[in-house]
Amino acid sequence: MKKLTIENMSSTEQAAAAANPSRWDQRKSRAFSVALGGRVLAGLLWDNEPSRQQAERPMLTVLGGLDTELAPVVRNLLVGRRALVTDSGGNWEEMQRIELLSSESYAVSYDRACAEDGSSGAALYLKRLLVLDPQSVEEEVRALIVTPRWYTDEENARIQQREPELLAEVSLHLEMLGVVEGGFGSNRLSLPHKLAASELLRLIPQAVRVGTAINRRTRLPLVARVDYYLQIYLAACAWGVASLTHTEQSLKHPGKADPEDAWWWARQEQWTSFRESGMADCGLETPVAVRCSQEALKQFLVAQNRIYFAVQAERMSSPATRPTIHLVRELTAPPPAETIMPIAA
Amino acid sequence: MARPNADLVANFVPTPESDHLIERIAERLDVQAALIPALEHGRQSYGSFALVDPCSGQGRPLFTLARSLFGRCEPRRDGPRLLFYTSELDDVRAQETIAQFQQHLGTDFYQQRRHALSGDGFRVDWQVGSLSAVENYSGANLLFANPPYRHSKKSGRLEVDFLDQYTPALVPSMGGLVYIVPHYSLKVAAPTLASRYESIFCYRFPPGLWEQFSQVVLFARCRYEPLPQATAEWVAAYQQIVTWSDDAATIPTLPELGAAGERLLLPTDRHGGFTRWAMTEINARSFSERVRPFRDSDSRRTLGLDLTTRDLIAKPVRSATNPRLAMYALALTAGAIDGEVITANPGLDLPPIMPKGSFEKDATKTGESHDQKGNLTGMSLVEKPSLHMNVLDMQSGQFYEIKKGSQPSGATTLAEMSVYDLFVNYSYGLKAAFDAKCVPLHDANNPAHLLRLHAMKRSLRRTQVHPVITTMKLWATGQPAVCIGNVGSGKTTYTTQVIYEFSPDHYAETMAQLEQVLALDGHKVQRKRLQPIQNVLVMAPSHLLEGWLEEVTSCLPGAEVVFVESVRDLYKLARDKARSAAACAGRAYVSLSSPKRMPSWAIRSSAPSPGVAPSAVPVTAT
Repeated sequence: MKKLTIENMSSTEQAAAAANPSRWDQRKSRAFSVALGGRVLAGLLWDNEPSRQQAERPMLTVLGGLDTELAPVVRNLLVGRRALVTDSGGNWEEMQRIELLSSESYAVSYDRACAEDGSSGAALYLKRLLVLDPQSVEEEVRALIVTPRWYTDEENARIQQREPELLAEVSLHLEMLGVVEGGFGSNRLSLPHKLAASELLRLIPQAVRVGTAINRRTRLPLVARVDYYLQIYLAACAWGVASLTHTEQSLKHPGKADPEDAWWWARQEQWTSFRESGMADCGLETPVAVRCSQEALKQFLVAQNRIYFAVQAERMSSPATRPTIHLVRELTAPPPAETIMPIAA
Repeated sequence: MARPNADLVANFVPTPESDHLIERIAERLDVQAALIPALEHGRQSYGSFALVDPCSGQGRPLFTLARSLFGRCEPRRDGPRLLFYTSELDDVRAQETIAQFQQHLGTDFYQQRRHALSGDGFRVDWQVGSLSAVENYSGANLLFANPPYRHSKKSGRLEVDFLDQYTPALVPSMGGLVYIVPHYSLKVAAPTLASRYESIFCYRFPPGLWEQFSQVVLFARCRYEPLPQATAEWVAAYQQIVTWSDDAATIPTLPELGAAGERLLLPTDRHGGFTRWAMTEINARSFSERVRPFRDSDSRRTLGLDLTTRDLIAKPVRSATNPRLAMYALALTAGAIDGEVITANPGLDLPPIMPKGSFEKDATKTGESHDQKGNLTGMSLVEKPSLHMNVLDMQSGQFYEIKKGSQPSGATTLAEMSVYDLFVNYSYGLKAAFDAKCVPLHDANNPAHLLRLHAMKRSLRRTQVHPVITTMKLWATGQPAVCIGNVGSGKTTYTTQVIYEFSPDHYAETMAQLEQVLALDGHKVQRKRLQPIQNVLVMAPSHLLEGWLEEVTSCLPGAEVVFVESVRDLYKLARDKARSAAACAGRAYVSLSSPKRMPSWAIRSSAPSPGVAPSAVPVTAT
């Protein structure tokens, strides 16, 4: 793991110390270190990305260390002090400094004494981009979805045990979309290649979280079905509405097919500022970013609705594949007359 | 919790070097035994003497101490070889400690350079034992510890965590402790100190330094084996340490140089030192396998990790009571029926839809101003919330933006419909969706959900009954309640009734009812969070004080209502209550008002009203 050390003096402090050395000699230093588990950079999601000479500004930083080590490092980062990344490798880490903007609101999530040696984990994240429900609709849809592996595992286990019919429904829908390896039908989502069914089904929790993030950022209603959410997740990655993070490997040839990376197509060629390191080692799934205008999102959803409803219609026409879960709430009888509107009358 | 600014420097408080403090500390230590040679393998030998500082800071105090004790730090033939072992969390200070090693150890610096570690003292891995037939190390002869002063989850104080961590590093029955901490943290350390140490004595910092952090220096020698608790010796030591902690005046001031005082004898086995003294790194594999980010409740809620995938798609809605028809628009915008498919009313040729609403602020012009020539000079705009609705046609997959409007337009297609038309044409479906999604805690239409309320002198109106019961249920399930109503709608009476239900005289009966009724829907009453109401503090604008007085006394004539204009009134009330406790206990209402600053007031306590029959009345649904 890389090491993160708080810079002892900011450039302003260095200038002040040069002007009055005696006073600064008495100052308590702040060069504390912890292990840097991983970080996510997403310059495309905000306007605060620095130039290359300045420090990186991660949306999510995961640190590891004893509580006594973490406390001063986290506190110094939150007040905006820069930290130096050492023992790092790879091309995109030339700057080797990170900072959190003191003007932004970051939250800290601790996982205390998780490691055998008593080390804790601390995740510092930018609230306004990672929050699932922003409570308002902006002109542009921007979201960063980070799903911990424990959530994916728990949800997948729960679905397998308690909702086998849901898995069957989703599997059938994916088959009819033509995205399952070895399955029938044409690839309606225009994915560059088909994917294994097990891999797709494992994506359900992540896909639902991405779909929910989109749903909470638009005025348009989304079909409230897991198979629909999985469809728009795959399509969003393929059609450029969303992107998985770039890795060191993918940045060597962005947008080019990589036999070692089945998801190369989901890492948008133009979104190279969206990158991560060490997320898998910190118990997190690959982060996903969503960015598009409301109009582009509408067009995207209309296109997806067409595909989805066409598939549903095909399924309805065939008794073998007729959905077992009905979309429409059955009204067995109208409510009693006295409890009915007219509201506006 | 540590103060945020203290966290910035990891709660580092350097050991003061003024007033010859270190020299005065050194004078309390007797290391003569280390200066007497012994025969080893036929030769005179002084062996080694190990000094450990796990929070070395800049390193100066440790070397000053060693110099004061032995007159030098570098190796000589006429005394033991001094071995220094340090660690420091701050990289810069750790480098300064290394510089001290270089400055004081001469040629021995290259041997001991690796003993100066940069990192957390809790990450130091040490070992004692034999390196060879002649190299045998038994641990630290002197532990000099001035750890950070802050709270810790482990023992309560970080100072004590350091003590627990490094006590095993001392040579049993010989190793000495110099422990610099604030006097109040000695209480937490007392069990460890009383059990693991002997010959304990303590001095407070001299005046001028004492005032800064209330630090003391505790001297002690490590026991050969821990003293069992509850023995007379342990109890005596423990009580002495607790006394020092509780009352710093009982601690003598550190004697001046050359003055008489207690001294700690440090015998030595001439084998001080460690075979291994190294900083361990984080176990990356274990960290990767076990770290589970965002498990805390705040992050789970913020990131939506507290909901299952199914709940994420169709957010569950909790409703206190049945929403009124007029609330449907508001509930739509709150996402109450997001994801629900709504069918058109019977007989209408309209597709099923999935609606989604949002309130947006529209600027509405409320006035203009013109100059004398009639030119427009200003305009006033007011932002008014308006309901925006989008629907998804579940047959075609098309989105439609529903037009604003509270008047019928006669439109028959989704593309032309106004919000009014939509609500009218899909009324059955909307009602069914709301009934299915918004299951109320108190269903006003369900007779089994009703509670028997106690009669006040002024009885409740029918419209007030359900809000009272809803509030009682919300409180019983640990949730807050807010009552909003027009002037004259009876908010004061409603509040008084709720208070009355939870007053000590009715509490047991009320809770029994709540448990019985709430259990019908699987809710549990949180008794711990809802105790009998003894005192009620009401804050309100000062011009409403008289109104409250009238309202409360008309509902509960026996209740005492007191205006509190200042804190002095509270003292007066307390005195009165003390005088006639029997008369006032559980029968006083106290209101608080501070009109000069914040117009407000408050009430306290509820009681059965003399003259009002405490009979229960059956309540029926409105």
